[in-house]
Amino acid sequence: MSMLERVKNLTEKECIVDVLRKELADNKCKNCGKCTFGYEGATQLEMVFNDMSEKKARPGDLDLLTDLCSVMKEQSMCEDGEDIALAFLEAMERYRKDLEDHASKKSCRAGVCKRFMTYHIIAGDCIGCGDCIDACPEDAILGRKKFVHVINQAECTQCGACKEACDEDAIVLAGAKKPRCPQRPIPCRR
Amino acid sequence: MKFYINDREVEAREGQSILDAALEAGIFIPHLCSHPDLEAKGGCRLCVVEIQGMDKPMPACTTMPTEGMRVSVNGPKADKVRRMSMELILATHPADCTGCPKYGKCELQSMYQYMGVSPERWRKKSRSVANDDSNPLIQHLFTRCIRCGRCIRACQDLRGVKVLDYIKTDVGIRAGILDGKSLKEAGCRFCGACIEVCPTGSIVDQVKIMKEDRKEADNIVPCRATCPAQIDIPRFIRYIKNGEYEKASAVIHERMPFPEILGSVCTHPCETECKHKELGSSISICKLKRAAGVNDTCEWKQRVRKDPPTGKKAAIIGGGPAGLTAAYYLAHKGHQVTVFEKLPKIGGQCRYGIPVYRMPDDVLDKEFEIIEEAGIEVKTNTAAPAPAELLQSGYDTVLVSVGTHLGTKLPIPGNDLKNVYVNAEFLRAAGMGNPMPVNENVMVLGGGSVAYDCARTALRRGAKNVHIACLENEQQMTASKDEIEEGAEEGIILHAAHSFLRITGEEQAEGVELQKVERFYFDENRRAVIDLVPGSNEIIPAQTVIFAVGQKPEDTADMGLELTHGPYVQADATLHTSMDGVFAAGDVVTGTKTVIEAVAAGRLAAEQMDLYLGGDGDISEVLLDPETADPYIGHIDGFGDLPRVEPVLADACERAKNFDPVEPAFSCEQAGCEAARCLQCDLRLQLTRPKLWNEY
Repeated sequence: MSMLERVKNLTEKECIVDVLRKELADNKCKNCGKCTFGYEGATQLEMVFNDMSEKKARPGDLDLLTDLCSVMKEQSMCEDGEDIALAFLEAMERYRKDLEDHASKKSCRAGVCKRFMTYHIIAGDCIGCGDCIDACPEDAILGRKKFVHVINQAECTQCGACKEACDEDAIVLAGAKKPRCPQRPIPCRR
Repeated sequence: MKFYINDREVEAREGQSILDAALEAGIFIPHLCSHPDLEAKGGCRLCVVEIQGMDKPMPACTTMPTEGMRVSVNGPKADKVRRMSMELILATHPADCTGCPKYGKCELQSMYQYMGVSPERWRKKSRSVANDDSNPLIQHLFTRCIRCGRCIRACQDLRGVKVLDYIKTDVGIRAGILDGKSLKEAGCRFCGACIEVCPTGSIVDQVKIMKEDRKEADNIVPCRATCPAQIDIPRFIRYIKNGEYEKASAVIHERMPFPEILGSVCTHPCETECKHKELGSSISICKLKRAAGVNDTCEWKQRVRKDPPTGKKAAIIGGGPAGLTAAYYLAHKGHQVTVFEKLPKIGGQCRYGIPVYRMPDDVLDKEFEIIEEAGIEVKTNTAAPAPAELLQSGYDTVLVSVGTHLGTKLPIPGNDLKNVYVNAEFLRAAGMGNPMPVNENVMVLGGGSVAYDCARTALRRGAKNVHIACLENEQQMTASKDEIEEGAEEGIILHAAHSFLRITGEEQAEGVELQKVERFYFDENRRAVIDLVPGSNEIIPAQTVIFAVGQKPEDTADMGLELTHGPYVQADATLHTSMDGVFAAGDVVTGTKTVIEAVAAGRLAAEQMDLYLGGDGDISEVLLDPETADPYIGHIDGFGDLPRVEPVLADACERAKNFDPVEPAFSCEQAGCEAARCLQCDLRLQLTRPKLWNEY
């Protein structure tokens, strides 16, 4: 399937950024190198899409890529480069909001891009043992004995050490849909 | 066909692209992946132009103009594409231009400076590759590769060597060698086309082979630049490879009249510089030259210069290689030339210094035929009058080229005993057919070629034990490796790094006392310093002792010319002596050197004397129409490791008993094989060097 078709046939569960990023990683253009727009164009697209999925996008990235693809579609030496450019432009038409959400580091709607996933401690399951607090390398978990622990999302690096450490299975990884959790440690119910 | 670029009418030839026509008309269009000698691909898109009636900018290198077409180079659409392309290339290219060997000569650098772009708005990424310094000729710095594909097209299509290709690596696509092979393993022919066409510093010459004091073209073809006579070595070798000996011989004759003589005795400084030496062993240039001489059909003689008579007369004193070369070219310039030769035959040291087993008389006679054919008067057995007398008696100019025919003795006790000889006299007597007697035990003192000539001659004259002693150790000796080896095979006993203290004996030499040298060098005042090993003295029995420690000119004191360093004739860079109209060339000026240097000096003398006689000083001859060599050299497996062809010498025991030639000339098959090993470095100079934008 061409990249353009891949974009047209995206399912609900798929993330446009993730799909394009993976398509670009092993694209014909990346394996050819005979023309600047095909090879360097694909390289730039891949780098920017990786950044987007990593929450590292820069302001103006989507405009830059739109500019690039408008030239790439007509200046690549063969259809392979053209296909990449058209796929991106099509994605801009169809999934503009998803792309912007990634570019502005807001969210990954499909919950696929890892850096957009967040860990949460389910208040009803937490026994306030402190194991996760000890395991967190970033000191990003608030709480004390017998109080429900709370992850400070601003500090969390999504390493997953807390989830590993929790014997109660009280910690979950969430995509676009986030569980409701207390903002501050509250006394445990259990 | 006419079309318009930026509203200017431009003429295009059949098959010319818009880019070619524009550049030829002096209209600059940026470009990078196109090269005048390679098929255009249109990958880089720097050369895009806007064409009336077309909706998108088109690459000028792959688009052919049509009659009346209107092209605009700097329209907004084309400019946008061009700038973006350059930005994208720069985004992944290292930014440390000043650290690059191509700095200042780089097409990429030149082009982005012209366009004034930078990659700031893009993601930057370096595709780092370790530099490959493993090949002695070609360096790969592929971090700088921009994938223009020029080296690949040069290697694949132009040369047919098919070693370079696009390869996939962990950090991306770049030019390289498939399967991780080295250049040698892949069958590279080291023609250097890849280096020549690379627009960046990705493929460059190894630093150490590019000497700073030599012009770039000379660095590219070092053999030709190193030859004192500047023989077009790669060109004649190519003809030998194709079996065209008459052409090979013509090429050599364009620069030098005696291929077979030099092919037998040349010290071949060219081979020391041969790039193939870096890969393993140099091309046997000297022996190939001999093969060209042996198989010469003399067709080139039809085309030698025959300028109309000038009425001027030139006298040459001394018929050695320098004098004969000068005489030959002067005669071709229309001057009337007389050679005065003291000895019975012309040839100088070639005949009376170099023994016949190395330089047979018939070869000399054959190659000296051209002297007579050139209408030169040769007076043998004739001592020339002094230069001033010659000028008075009607000669317009005189060349002193008497060589160094006087052997010297060292001031050691016993040097005047009976049967103590000097090199020049001993060899000359042998060459003239009335050899000096030798005893059973012979000691030759000296470590150069002449010492070996004396020793091997003594052996052939019936000596049983022949020794050579010299101050230098084996690495320092000036005799060639081949000579030392061949001498050893014949049974010559070498005492390298030994000082000779005295010659023992009452009336007649009986032995030589030697002492081991610990260290031998020249101090800052160029004085020889000899440290001896105490108690290492020994006396080698020798009833004949031959000094081979240098030669000097004879009879120069009476010439009325200013001398230097004793008997040497003083001559300036243009070979003028202290007397107007009198020139000097060869060993008599420089001290004992080589035959090829004498020939080169003879050429210079002819040029200068012609100028003096009112000519234009141009002695060049075109004996063969120039041909463009076939650039498609093809692939040869294991090319870099092809062994040097070695001739089979006459059996050492047998050859030491007579004066028959030691070394046969190459057979045509051998010569062909050896010639096929040549890297043809000169092909690279056929490639067009693209101009940088500031050169338009």
